[in-house]
Amino acid sequence: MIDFLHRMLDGGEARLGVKRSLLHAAIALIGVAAIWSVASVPLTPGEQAVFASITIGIFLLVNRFPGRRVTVFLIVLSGAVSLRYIVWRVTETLEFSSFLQGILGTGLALAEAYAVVVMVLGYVQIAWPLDRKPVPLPDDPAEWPSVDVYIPSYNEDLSLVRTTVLAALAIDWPPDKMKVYILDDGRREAFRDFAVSCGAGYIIRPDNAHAKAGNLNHAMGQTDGEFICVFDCDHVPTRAFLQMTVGWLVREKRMSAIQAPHHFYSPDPFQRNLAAGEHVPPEGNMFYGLVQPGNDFWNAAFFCGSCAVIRRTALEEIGGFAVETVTEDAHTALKLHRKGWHSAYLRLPLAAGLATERLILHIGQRMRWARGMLQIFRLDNPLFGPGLKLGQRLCYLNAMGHFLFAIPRVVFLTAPLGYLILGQNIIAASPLAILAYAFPHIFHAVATNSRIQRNWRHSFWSEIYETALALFLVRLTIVTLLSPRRGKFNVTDKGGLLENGYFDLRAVYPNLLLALVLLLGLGIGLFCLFFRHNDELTFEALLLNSIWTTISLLIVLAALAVGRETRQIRRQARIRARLKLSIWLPDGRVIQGITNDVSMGGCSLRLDTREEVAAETGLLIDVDVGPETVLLQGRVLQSESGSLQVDWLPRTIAEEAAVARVVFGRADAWIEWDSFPIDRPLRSLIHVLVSIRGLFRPPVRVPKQDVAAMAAAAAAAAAPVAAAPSGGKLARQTLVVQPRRAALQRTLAALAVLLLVAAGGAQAQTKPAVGAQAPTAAQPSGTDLRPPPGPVPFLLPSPGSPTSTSSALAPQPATQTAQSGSPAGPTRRLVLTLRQLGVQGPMTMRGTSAIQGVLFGIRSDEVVTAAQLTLEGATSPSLMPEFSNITVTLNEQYIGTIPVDRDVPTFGPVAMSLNPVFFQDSNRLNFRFTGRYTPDCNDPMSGLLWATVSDTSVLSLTLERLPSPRLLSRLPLPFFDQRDKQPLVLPFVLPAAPGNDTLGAAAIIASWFGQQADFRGATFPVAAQPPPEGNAVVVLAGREAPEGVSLPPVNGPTLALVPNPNDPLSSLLVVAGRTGAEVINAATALVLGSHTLGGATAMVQTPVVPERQPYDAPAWINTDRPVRFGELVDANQLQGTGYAPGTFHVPFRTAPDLYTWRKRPFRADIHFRAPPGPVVDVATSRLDVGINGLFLRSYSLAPSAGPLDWAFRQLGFDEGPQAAGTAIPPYMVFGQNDLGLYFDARPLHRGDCTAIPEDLHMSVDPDSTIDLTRAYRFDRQRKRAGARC
Amino acid sequence: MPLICFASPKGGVGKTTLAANVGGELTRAGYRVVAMDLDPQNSLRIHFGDPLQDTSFYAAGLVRRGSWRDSLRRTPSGVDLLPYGQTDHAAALALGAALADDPALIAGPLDDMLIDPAIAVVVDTAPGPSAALSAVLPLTDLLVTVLLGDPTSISLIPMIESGRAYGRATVSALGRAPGSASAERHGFVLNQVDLRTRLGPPLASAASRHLGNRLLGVVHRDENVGEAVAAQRLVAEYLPGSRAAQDIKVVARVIAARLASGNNIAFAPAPRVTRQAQAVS
Repeated sequence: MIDFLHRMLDGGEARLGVKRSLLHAAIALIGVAAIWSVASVPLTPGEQAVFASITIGIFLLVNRFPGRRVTVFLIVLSGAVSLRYIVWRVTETLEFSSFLQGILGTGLALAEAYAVVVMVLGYVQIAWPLDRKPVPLPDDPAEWPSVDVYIPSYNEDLSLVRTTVLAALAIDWPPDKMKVYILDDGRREAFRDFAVSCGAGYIIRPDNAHAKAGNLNHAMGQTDGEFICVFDCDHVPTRAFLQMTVGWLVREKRMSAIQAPHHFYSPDPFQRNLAAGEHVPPEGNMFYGLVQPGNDFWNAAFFCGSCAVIRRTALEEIGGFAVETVTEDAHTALKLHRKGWHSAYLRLPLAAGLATERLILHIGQRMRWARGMLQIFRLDNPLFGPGLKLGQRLCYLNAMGHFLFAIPRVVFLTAPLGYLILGQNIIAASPLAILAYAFPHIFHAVATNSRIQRNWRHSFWSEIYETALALFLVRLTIVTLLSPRRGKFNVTDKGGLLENGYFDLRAVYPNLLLALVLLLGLGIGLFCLFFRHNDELTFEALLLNSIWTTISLLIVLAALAVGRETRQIRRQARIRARLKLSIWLPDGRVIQGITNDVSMGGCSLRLDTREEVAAETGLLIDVDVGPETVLLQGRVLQSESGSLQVDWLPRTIAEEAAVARVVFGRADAWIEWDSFPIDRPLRSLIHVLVSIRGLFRPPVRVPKQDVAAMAAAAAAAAAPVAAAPSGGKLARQTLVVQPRRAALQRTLAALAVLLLVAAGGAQAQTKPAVGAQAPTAAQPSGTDLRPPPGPVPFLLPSPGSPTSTSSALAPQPATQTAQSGSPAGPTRRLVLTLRQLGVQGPMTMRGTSAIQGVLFGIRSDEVVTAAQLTLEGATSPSLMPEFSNITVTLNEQYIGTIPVDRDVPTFGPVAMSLNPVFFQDSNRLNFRFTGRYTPDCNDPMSGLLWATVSDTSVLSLTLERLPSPRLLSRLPLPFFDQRDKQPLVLPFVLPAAPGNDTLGAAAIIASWFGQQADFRGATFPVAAQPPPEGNAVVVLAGREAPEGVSLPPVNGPTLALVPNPNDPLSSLLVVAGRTGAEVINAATALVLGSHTLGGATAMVQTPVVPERQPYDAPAWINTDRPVRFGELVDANQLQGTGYAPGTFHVPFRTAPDLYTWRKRPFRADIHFRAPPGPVVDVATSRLDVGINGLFLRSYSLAPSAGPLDWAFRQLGFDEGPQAAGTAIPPYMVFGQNDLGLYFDARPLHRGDCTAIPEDLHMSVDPDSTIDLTRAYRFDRQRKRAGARC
Repeated sequence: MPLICFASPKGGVGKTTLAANVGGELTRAGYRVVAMDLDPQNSLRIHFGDPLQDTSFYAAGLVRRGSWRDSLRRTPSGVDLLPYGQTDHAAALALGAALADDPALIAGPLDDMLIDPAIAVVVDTAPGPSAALSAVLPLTDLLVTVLLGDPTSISLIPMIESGRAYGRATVSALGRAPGSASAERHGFVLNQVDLRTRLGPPLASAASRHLGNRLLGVVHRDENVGEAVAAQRLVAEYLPGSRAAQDIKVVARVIAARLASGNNIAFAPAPRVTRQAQAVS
C-alpha cells in the first residue's frame, strides 16, 4: 500500500509512455461511457422501479462480502445510481412555468447536485483509508531529533493548561532534546510563575497579531528544535506521543508533519445532551477515524492545529504557519503540500482533550472552522494553483466544500414547504417517479456510507450535526464567499461548569423557528390530506411532501434537543481505567486494589478485601501504570465494603505531575476511543428518534447551595497548588523564559556516597558495550529518559522483570568517558588495510556512483578507544578544486574531507583521526565524491569525473577489551565473533593424556567452530594449561580440573563458562563429564543445541541425534526442492545502492557428484527490483547473472508490463518484482559455487545540466530460488545403470 | 530436589517470614515443600500455626541421627515442617560444634530428601555465620539473601558480594564470583521497603539498579505481616489482598522460574494427584 502511494507520489503520470497513456485514457473513457449510459438511459417510472430493485438487490447481495475491493465496487454502484438520479432531475424534472417555481426548483436541484458531488468526493476521500503504523526510532536515543513542544494559550484557565504542561513534560524523550514552552498570548503572571515552577519554558510577544498562528510563528523565532510539536492547551498528551510519531519524520526526510487524532475524553454536546448520545461515536471520530486516514492515502492528511509534529525546515520554507485565514492549520498544510512536502496521519489516540462543553460553544467553533475553510477556498483554492496532485486537490476540495453544506441543508429541510405552503410544484414529476428515482439514490448513499463508516459514525447522525449548525452558517457562508478577508479568530472556551440544566435559546433559536414553520407546513399538508378532496396525483404529492416535512421536522427536533443542556457539575471528567494499585493505610497495613475510574481530582477504586476505611483517612497510593509505579497522596472521601472514593492531595508540582502521569500520561490511556458498535442504519434511526424524547423530559434542578459546595470542592481538589493565582499581567514585550529541566528533580545527596560504596565492587559490569541496545519506543522507559521527579514518586522496577532492570542499567551513553573510574582492560592495536577489510581493489568513484564504502565489524567484546585512518589515492586532474572533494564518513558521521589539487592528482598519505564514539558493532566507512569540471553544466557521466581511494589505505584501531557476559545463550560469543574477519585462533586445553572420547569431543567442538569461521580459517592450538591471555575451550572427563580453574559441580554432561584464571576478562568454555561418554554428549549437545542453552552453567541432556541421511550435510544445498536465496545468504546482502551496487554473491556448496545432461540444465528463478523508467535508462540498464565467474545471461531492467498493469496498480494491486529465469549449465556447478548477480544501471541521459537521481536501491528478491532437483547423484546413477544391466 | 536456603549476615531481616511464606506460595503453586528450620530461635513453626508449647524437634536432635521422615509434620498450609525444636544455649553450641566437625550430619539427610525430584527443600538459617549454614551451602541450589530496605543492609552488599559473608569458596561455587555477571544461584530479596520514608524509594531503586537480575523481588513494609504472624498464619492466608502477600507471591514465582531455568534441575510442580496421594499417605 505504501509502495503504491509512493508510486503515486513519486512516479506520477509523467513516467508512463505516451502509448500507455493513450491506452489508459481509452480504458477510462470506456468506463465513463459505461457509467454515463447507466446514468442516462431513459426508462419509464415502472422500469426505473425495476432498475432500482435490481441495484438494491445487487447491493444486498454484494454487501455480504467483506473487503475493500467490494467496497470500491459498491461505491461505484452508488455513484452511478446517484448520477442517474441527478441526470434525471436536471433533464426531466425542472419546469419554469412560473418565476418562483423556476427559482425554487433550480435551487433544490443545485442543492442536490452539491450533495451528490460532495458524496462522490467523500467516496474518493475515504475509499481506501491508510492504516499507517508507527515507525521505530533509531536504537540510539542520541540520534533522536530535538523537539520543541508548544502549548499556545490565550484566555484559558490555568487549571486547564497546567495538566497539559505537566503531561507534556512527562513525554518520554531525551530531556536535553525536548523543550516545552507555554506560548501565552494572555501575558499572565500566573502562567509565567507556573512555567518557572514546573520547569517549562514561557514565551510571550509584544502584540497579538494573527492570533494562534502569529503566536506560534513568534515562538518559532525564539527556539531552535528540529521539530515543532503543538498541543492546544486542553490536549493532554500521553507519554508515548513523540516516540510514536517522530519515527516517521526521521525516516521520511520529505515528510513535513505527522498528525495524531484529537480525542476527547469528555462527551461532546451531542453525546451529553441527546438521550442516545452515549451509544454513538463522538462527532469527531468520523474525521479522525476515517477522513484523515483517507486523506493520508492521497498524501493529503492535514495538520489540525494540535497534536501534531511539524518539521521546522518545512515550516520555514513556507514562511511559518499560515496567517491569512482563521484556520491556520489546514492552510499551513495546504501550503506545505503545494511545496511538495508530504504529510502523514497516525490513527493512534496519543492525546486527549476536553470536548466543547456546550452547544453554543460548539457552534462558535464550527463557525470559525467554516469561515476559515471558506476563506482558503476563496483565497487559495486547492483546485487551482501549483504543486498539488489530483488526489490532494480533491481531498482539500472536499474538506472545504464540506463547509458549504449550510445552504443546501436548509434547502433540503424546507423544500417540501414550497409545495405545502407556497403551492409550487418544484419537482415536475409524479410522486411515484420521484420515489423510483430518489429512493435507490438515498438507499445506496446511506447503505454504502454505513458500510464505510462502520464504528466511526452512525447513520443519520450527520444530519443532526449539520442541522444544528446549518442556520448559523447560512449568513456566514454568503459573507465569507463574497468577502473572504473578514473575520477574526475566536477562542473556543472549554472546561466550564454548568450548574443547572437549561435550554440554551441562543444556540437553538433559528432551529426553533424552523421547527415552527415545518410544523405549520405539516399541519397544512395533513389538513389538505384529510379534509380536502384530492385527485390521486395531488393526494400522492401531499402525502410525499408531508412525509418529507415530517422527516425534516424530526431532524430539526433532534437538533433542538442538543440545545437542552444537561447539568455538568463535575469539573474533572472521570476516565474509566483499570489500574492496579496498593493503598498504604496509616496503621501500616498495605492493601491491593484496582481503580474503576481516575481523574485529576481523584479516583474510585475497589480493594481486594472488604476493608472499611474511615472517611478523611490520609492514604498513600501506589499506582501501577505499566512501565513504572507512581506514588500519590490521597484522602478517602467515602468507603463502602471495599469500594473507596479517593481525592488526590498533591502538595507539590512534582506530585501534581505524578497525578497527570497516572490520569493522562499512560500510553494506553485512550485505546478505547473507537470502541463503539458497528453502524446498523435501522438501529441508528431508532437512536435518533429516541434522542428527541430528551426535549420533553422534565428539568432536573439542584438546590443552589449544593451546587456551590460541589463546585467549590471540585475546584479545590482540582488545583490546590494553583489556588490564589496572581491576576497580574505582564507587559507587552517579547519574553522568553527557557525551560529548566532540573525543576522537578531533587536528590538526597547522602545516598550517593552510600551507593557508590555499594556499587564499587561491580563497577566493571556497568561498563557499556558499544552499540548497546538502547530502550526503544516499544517499552517507554521512564527510568532512562527522566529522573524521578521529587523524592516521592519513584520508579521501582517490578521485581524479576528483566526489561525494567536492564533498562535501569542501560542509560549510560556509549562513550568511554563514563568509565574513568574503572580499571581499564587490556588494549591491543590493529592495523588493517582497506583490502583486509574486504575491498577488492582501488575504490573508484565516478559522477554516477559517487559513494563507495567498506563494511567492517568490531568484536562485541572490544571497544574502540582510538582510531586513525591514513588514506592514499588520486583525483582527476580536470576537477575544479573549489567544487570538488572526497568526503569521508564513518556511519554517516563526518570524518574529514580530502581536497583536490589539479597539479598533483595523487594525494596521501592523508591521516585523519576518528572519534571512537562513532564506532558501532558494524560500521560503514564511506567515501563520497563530489566533483565538477566546469562551473556550469557538468555531465555526470563524463569520464573526467573520477577519484580513487587506494585499497592500501590503512585503518589503525586501538581496541580495549570489555568483560563479556558469560552466558551460554550467547555462544559462540565470545569465542568466535561473526564480525571479526581475522582467522579464528582458539586454544584447546586438554588433560595430559587425553582419552579417545576427550579427543573426539574436542574434535566435535573444533569442527563446530571451524564451520562457523568459514572463510576466515581457524587454528586450534592445544595446551595443558589455560592460555595466559584470551579465551579457550577446556575439555575434560572426570574431575581433575586444570590448575586455577574453578569448576562447577560436574554431575553429568556439563557445559559451563568460567573466567580464565590467568586473564579475568576472558572466558573458558568448559565441556565436561564424569566419563568420556558424557563429554562426548556435552560436546554434541553444544553443537546441536547451543541455541537452547542459557545461564553460565548447564547440565545437558543427551541429545537425540537423528540418523544421518546421504547428502544431509548442513553446508550442502538441498537438492530435493528449489532453495531460496534467502536461505543461502542474508537478505541484506542482496540489496545495494547506486547505479552499480557491485556484485551480489550467492554462494552454495554441494557434493561434487551431481550429474545431469547438457540439455537438462539447472534453473535459477531470479526476481529483482530496480527503480522504474524515469529514474534509470531502462533500455540500457541490465542485470547480469553469472556463476563461478562465467557470464550466463543479461536481463533488461525494462518492465515487461502488460496493458492492464497500470489499471491494476491504480486499483492497489501490488506490482511484483521482475522475474528472470536462468539456465545454469551443469558442468559449471562444482563443489563450491558462487552465483553472481550484477546490476549495471545507467542514468537516463537528460543533458548536461540536470542532476541525476542518486541513492538508488536495487535488490534481488530473497525469494528467488535455485533449483538443483534435476540432478542425479552419481552413485544413484550407477545403481540405476547396474540394475538395468 | 532443589534446595533453597534463606540466609543473611544481618538479623531481624525477615528470613524466617520469607522462608515460611515462600514455602507456602510454592506449595500453592503445586510443589511439595519441606521447610527445615536450622535457627535455634525455632520460630519457623510459628508461621505454620504450630502451638507455642509444641516440643517436637528435628534439628536439635541431629546429633542423635534420627530419621527426618519421623520428624516431618504436615502443617495446615500443606508445607511439611522440620522444626528446630526447643533447646538451650549449650545444646545449640554443641550442635554447632558437632556440625562443624561433621557436616554430613545435616548434608546426609538433605541429600536423602533431595533425591526425590518432587520435593523442594526450604531452609531457614540463623543470622550471620553458623556451622549449619556452612554445612548447607554446598548443597544449595538457590541461596536467597534477605536484606532490609535500610542503609545498614545496603551497606552490607559489598561484603556479601566479596564473599566475606558466606565464605569465598561458597560464593564462587554459587556462581557469584567477583567480576562475574552470572547470578544464577544467588539471589537477593529486599524486605520491608517503606515508600513513605524519604530514604525508602531511592534506596530501593538504587539497590535494584545495582543488583540487576540478582534481585528476586521487593517486599514492601506492610503491617499485615506482623498481624499474620500474630495470628500464626501465612500472610497469603491471613489477608490475600495485602501488598505483602502479593509481593511474596512475586518472589516465589521468580524463585520457581529461576530454579526451572537453571536447567540442571528438573523442577516442576508435581501433578496434583500425586500431591494429594502424598497427603493421604
